[in-house]
Amino acid sequence: MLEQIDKYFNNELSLSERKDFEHQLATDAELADNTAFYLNANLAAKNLANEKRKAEFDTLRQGISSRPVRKIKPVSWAVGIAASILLVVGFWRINQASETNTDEFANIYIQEHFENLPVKMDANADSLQMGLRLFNEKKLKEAQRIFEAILYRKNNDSESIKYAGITALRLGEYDKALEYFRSLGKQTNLFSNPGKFYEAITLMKQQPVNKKEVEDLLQEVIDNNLEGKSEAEKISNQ
Amino acid sequence: MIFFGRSALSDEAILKGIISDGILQRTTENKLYEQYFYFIKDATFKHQLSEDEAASLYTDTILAFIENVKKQRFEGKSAIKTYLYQIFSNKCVDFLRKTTTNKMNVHDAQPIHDWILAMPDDAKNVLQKLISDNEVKVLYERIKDLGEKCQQMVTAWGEGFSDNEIAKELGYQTPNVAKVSRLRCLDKLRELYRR
Repeated sequence: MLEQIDKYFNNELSLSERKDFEHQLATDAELADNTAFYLNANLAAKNLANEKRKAEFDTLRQGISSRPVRKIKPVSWAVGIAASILLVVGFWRINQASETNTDEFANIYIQEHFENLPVKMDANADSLQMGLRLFNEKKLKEAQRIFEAILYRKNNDSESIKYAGITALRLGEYDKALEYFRSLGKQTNLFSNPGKFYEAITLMKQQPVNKKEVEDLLQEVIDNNLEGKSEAEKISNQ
Repeated sequence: MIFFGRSALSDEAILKGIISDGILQRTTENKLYEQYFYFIKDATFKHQLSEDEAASLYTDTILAFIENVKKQRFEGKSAIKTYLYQIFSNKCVDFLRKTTTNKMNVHDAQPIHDWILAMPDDAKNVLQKLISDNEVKVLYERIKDLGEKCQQMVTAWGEGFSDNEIAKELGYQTPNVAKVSRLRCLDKLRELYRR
């Protein structure tokens, strides 16, 4: 029944089916009850999504509020000196803005994609699955030990390299993460390889940002149709 | 590239970013939030609100604007800054009215879901009686009892993501697989709700 209700609100019914549905709604208590559930659930989900977004904005607000305030002091020196200072400040501000943006972009990507990693539901938990579970339980150091132990035995295992890289990235160990993602990116036998794109994300977190290297990597992802292409294109098209 | 460009986004870039999906949308929304952040300080002077109150109203303003853009209610007749300031000022005045009078409850109304507005009257009346703030509150809590994946799925649906977007964001192979999973999650939610 929910499928029919879903089709109605997604405009997937023909005109006659829509009319039947609306007519039935006024006379069939069970359908009305389920439709009300569907709508109430959507409002509740919307409220929950809004609450989550509000919490994210609140975190952003705290970040903005804690930034140091730069006060401009009156300058009584020669105009030349003032101009020089302004020039330096100008360059610094441009540099700051781009660094904040790359960092912010990387943070959102990490938050949306590396908060939880996919775990298989079967009971046969191998080491990799155990590492992933620990990762999802935010026991990142323990997860890292497991991924690295697997790599000690099978140093070319692409899944373990990927997850070891993601874990290092989450731990803020960017040099280590880059090493893993570069090694992943070099593997040519994979159906889908996110190595280059993850390398770009990691570089965005490193300060100061090497803009040229990030741009080149994103371009490589696009040109070679690698995993992460659509995200890379979105950034490039702006 | 967006993150190497100017620090302030143009109106066009904001509108384009909000209707895109995934990470670009979030980045644009965050940037928008930062861009007019100074409204909060203004409100503390102009309306004598505390910084927390002004910040909460500012967040509501940004969320209302995002929804209006997604639902194509923003016609672009004024600049985004002007439009946002108008919404924000109205929210500040409403808030002051509510806190300085005892008429808060008079303004409380049953929630009206946008989706039923275009329905014939008889069907709409039946549903309007069944949609209630209390039920929404109960369901809000029940969604939190769902498994993590289902919770993400249902929240994304509430946020207005299509099955295509949900498939991309949550890693389902096709929009159809996402749809089937979403309906299963709603089934689970219904079970929890009626238990």
